[in-house]
Amino acid sequence: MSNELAINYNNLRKATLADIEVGHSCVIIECNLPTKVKARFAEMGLVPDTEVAVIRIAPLGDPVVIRARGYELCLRKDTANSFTVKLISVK
Amino acid sequence: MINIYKYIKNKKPHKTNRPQSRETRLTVALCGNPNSGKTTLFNLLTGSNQKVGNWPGVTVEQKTGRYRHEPTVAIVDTPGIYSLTPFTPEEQVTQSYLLHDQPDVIINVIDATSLERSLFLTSQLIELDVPVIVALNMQDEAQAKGIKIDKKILEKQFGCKFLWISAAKNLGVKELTSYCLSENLPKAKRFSYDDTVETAIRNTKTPNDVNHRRFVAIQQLSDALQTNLAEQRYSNIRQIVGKARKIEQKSEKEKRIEQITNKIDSIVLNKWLAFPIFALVMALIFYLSIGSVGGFLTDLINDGLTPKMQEIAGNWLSRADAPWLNSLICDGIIAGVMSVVGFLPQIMMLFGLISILEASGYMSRIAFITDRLLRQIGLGGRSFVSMVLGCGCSVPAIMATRTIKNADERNATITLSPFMPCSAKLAIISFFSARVLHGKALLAVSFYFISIFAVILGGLLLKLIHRQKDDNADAFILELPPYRAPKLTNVFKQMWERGKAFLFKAGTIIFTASVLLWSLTNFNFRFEFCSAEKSMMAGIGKLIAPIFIPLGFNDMGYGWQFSVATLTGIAAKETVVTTLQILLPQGIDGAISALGAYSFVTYNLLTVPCVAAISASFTEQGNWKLGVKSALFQIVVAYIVSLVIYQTGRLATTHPTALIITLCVAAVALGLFFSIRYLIRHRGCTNCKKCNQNCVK
Repeated sequence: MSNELAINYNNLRKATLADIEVGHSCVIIECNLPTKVKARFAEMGLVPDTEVAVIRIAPLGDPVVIRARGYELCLRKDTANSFTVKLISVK
Repeated sequence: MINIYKYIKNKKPHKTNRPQSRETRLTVALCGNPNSGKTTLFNLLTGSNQKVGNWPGVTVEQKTGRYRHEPTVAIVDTPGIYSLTPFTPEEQVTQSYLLHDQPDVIINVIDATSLERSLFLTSQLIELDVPVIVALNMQDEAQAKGIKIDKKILEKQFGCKFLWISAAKNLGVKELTSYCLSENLPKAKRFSYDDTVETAIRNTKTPNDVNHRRFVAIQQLSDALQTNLAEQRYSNIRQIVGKARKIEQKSEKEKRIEQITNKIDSIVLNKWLAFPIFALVMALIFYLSIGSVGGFLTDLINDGLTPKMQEIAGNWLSRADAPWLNSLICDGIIAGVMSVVGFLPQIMMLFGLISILEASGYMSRIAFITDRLLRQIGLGGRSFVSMVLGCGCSVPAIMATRTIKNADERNATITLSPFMPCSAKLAIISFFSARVLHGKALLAVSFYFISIFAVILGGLLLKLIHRQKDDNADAFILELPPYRAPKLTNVFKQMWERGKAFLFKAGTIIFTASVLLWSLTNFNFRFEFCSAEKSMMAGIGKLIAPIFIPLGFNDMGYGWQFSVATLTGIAAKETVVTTLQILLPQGIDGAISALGAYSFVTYNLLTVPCVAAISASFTEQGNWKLGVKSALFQIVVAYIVSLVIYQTGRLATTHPTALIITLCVAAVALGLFFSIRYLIRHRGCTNCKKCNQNCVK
């Protein structure tokens, strides 16, 4: 399923970072993690209005590599699932 | 909320391991993100004038040294951190040091190619009452990527000096140091935040005499406010960087350079190639260190140097006409200590190679690809490397865990690595394979599978035991740095440091242990020199022999000999074989059944490792209680696995049908359990490809 269809289908729930496929970018809307972890990721630069590109996925499917603020970071799928995002480009 | 008073009130000043009693006119602290090139700069500034140790009370590495051109200037390297908020031990230790020990200057080392994220830490550092100098490192890389930074804008906004350097190429470092040593460093500007945050800061109570009031107050804020604060910091930084940094259009050549990391990653992290490449890299490391070069040097020591030492000592001591002294020195001390020192070449090579893995950036990729598998058993990518190393020798495997950040993961790796059969344990395997197990090579390989099984089982058990509420501050955050050519001087320095630490260990702990074991095996309880059967060790062995009966050690009546052999395994695993040869001169065929032998080998493979590895794990864990817990855990797992093997084996011979029926029933039950669980969890699920059992229904 392409990204647009997936998001339409799931329009009961917002798109999350886990939905974004490799090669696409999005902007973070909010983060739904427990406060301590959320603060941790905020310090790494993953705050609302940050542009995030999904670069790569691990051979076993998890984690994914994202690029934000000029550097590359690995995130587990369930962590990525906690970031609500808005798709911006299709490469 | 983070209680910062823990770190500043009533704390004794850190005993940073300053090189001996020299007057210090200036203390410089190096701070920066991981992979920012801090270590390279530190090595450049201190040359050989450095000391490596641990920060007091934690297993975080501490490096201190003196400026090589001016020994009255002390330089302290702090751990690589992304922020000063004390979520992790590295951050806690750095914050505590900066607040309490008050360095005179902070040099903030920044990777100029990830400016935005790096400046986050800078924005925190300027809130301290310590002058900050920012070193924009990786100047060469930034140029290659066409990144142009207007320093003046940054200097104006942050209120401190920004200097370009390339630590790897030794550019700009002189200017950095001369500026650092000059007087009158400017007072940094602080960021100001919105009303919510500023009011909270004003209202936070801090003791009157505390330094760095604003910083302390900020750290006291609640976690929710911290997030708010982080957002504001980044917002400020984004504005500043937007004005200061321009990325030029690159030529074709420059584009290619920039994309090298990407190109390499697309091969190395490719779905199909990643694991084979990883296996090759591990095999190469293994081959170089244990096989060719390392192995050759080790054999040189064990077959050449050690006998020579024993010969010389023996000749010299024979004049004293005290055979017990001769035995003590030659068979006890020299044999014991040299058997461990013999590993030195392998260990140093292993450390050199791991250092290269780390510095090049490949280690992070390893953690990345193995994460999904290993996190189920509480381990991570670096743990995998330790497991592979453990097949050569547990000591470097345990010492390599120093770079693992997550404390639980590090402990688990230290406890579980010794389950892998090291080269000494291979001696036990081959000894038994040749005899009682009738040379079946398949059986020898099966031991490796048992080890892997034990690691998995042990990992799951540890996770179960340590199941506190998920301390989420240990969220999985792994940066993939760009690939960089490792600097060989750094690599050699690390090799040397670790090699020294290992030698020191051999010289002290193992020396003591060798003497102790020699005494126990050569003296009886009346302290008379005697043969092995009547020694104290034999007495102890006979005492504990009953424990091993369920494991089958005694199934032909020679239980105590095998128990003693197991005990002597603490010295070195090869000693198990030599002890058996002494206690059972008639050979072991007929002294134990095949099943008992299999159980015996399994027990010795999994139980506590040799004293060298035990002392390495005590050191790395930093806490003798943890060390004892690990040892007990290993003994228990070893016992249980051997017990199950032996008893199931017995059952198979005495009541084969009952056993087969039980196993089939168990297999069917398990299959049903997992299938039903899967079906229940995934009912109503459509084919969503991101399903990791996180379906939102």
